[in-house]
Amino acid sequence: MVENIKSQMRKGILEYCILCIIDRKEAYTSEILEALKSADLLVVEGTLYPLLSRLKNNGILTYRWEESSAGPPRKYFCLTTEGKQLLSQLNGEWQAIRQSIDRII
Amino acid sequence: MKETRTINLNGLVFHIDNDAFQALNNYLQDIELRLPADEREDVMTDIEARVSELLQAALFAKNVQVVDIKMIETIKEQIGAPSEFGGNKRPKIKVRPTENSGCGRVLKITLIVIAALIAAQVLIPVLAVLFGLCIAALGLGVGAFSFLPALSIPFFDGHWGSALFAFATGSLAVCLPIYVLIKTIVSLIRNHKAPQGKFWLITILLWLLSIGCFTAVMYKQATRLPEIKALPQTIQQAIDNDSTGFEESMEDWAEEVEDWAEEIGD
Repeated sequence: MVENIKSQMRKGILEYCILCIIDRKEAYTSEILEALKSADLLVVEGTLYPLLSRLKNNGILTYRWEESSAGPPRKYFCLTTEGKQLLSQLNGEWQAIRQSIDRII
Repeated sequence: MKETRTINLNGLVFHIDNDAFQALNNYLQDIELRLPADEREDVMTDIEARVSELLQAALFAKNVQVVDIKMIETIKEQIGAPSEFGGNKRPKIKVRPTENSGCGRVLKITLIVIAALIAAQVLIPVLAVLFGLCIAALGLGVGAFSFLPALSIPFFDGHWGSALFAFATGSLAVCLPIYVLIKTIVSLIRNHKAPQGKFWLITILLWLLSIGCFTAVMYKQATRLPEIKALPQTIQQAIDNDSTGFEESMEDWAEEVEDWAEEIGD
C-alpha cells in the first residue's frame, strides 16, 4: 500500500523530471537513467522507455543518432519547441504545487 | 561443458548459454507483447540497446566471453518486470521457433515476410480452386432450376427431408471456403503461419462431401419429376423433328438448283 503510493507519486513527476534532464543538455537513454537513479527517482529502468516513446510520439521530444566509440550508435534526445513550451508551463505548475503542499504540511 | 549460441543484439555479437538465451528471449517477447503497437518498435530498440550495454559491461567486469543465466537475471531485475511496461493481463504468448531467434530484428521481419509470401503462394491457388468448385456447385443447382421451370417451387414438394438436406449441404458448401479464408488470415496474423495440414485435410474432405451430398440429393430429386423421366424421349423427338426438317430443306434446295441449271441451259 505505502510502496504503491510512493511509486505513484514518483511516477507522476517522472515526465517532468525527464524533460528537465534533457533540457540541461542532449542526453542518451543511459545518461537519463543515471540522472534519475542518482536522484532516487527511478526504481526500475523499464518505466523510462515507454515514457520516452510517448513523449517523442507527442512531439515533445525528438532524437538524433550519434556514433559512439564504445559500441553502436546512440540515440540522443532533445526537446522540441513544443517540448520547451510544455516544460515552461510545467515549471510554473511545479512551483504552484510546491507552494500548495508547503501550505498543507 | 554447456552449449552456447551466438546472437546479434543492437549490432553487437554475444556468445550466450542456451538457458540464458531462452530466458532473455522470453523476457523480451513478454515485454514486446505488452507494448502498444505504435510504441513497440521504438521501445524494443531502446531496450535491446540497453541490454546490450549491460551485457557488455557484465562481460567486461567478470572478464568472461559468454553470457550466462545469472547476468540475464541481473539485467531483468535492473530493467524491471514486463508488467512495468504496461498491460495488467499478460496477453497470449506467440509460439515462435527459437532456432532463428538470435537473428537481428530486420532478419526476423524479413523471414516473416518471406514466410507470409510463401503461405500466400500456396493459399491463393487452393482458395481459388475451392472457390471455383463452390461456384460450379452453385451453378449446377441454379442450372437445374433454370433448366426445369417446374423445379422452382414444387421441386421438393412432398420431400421436405430432401429439401432440408439440400439446404444444409448447400450452405456448408458455400460457408466452408469463407471459413477457411477467415481462419487462414487470422492464423497468419496471430502466428505468422498458415493452418496445419490436418486442418486442410478435414476441411477439404468435408467440403467435397457436402458438394457430393448436395449434388446427389438434387439429382435424386430431379429424377423424380415427370419432365426428367420424359427427357430422353423429348430429346429424341427434337432430333427426329430437326432431321426431318433438314431433309425437307435439302430436297427444296436441290429442286431450286435443278431449276436454275435448266434456266442456264436454255
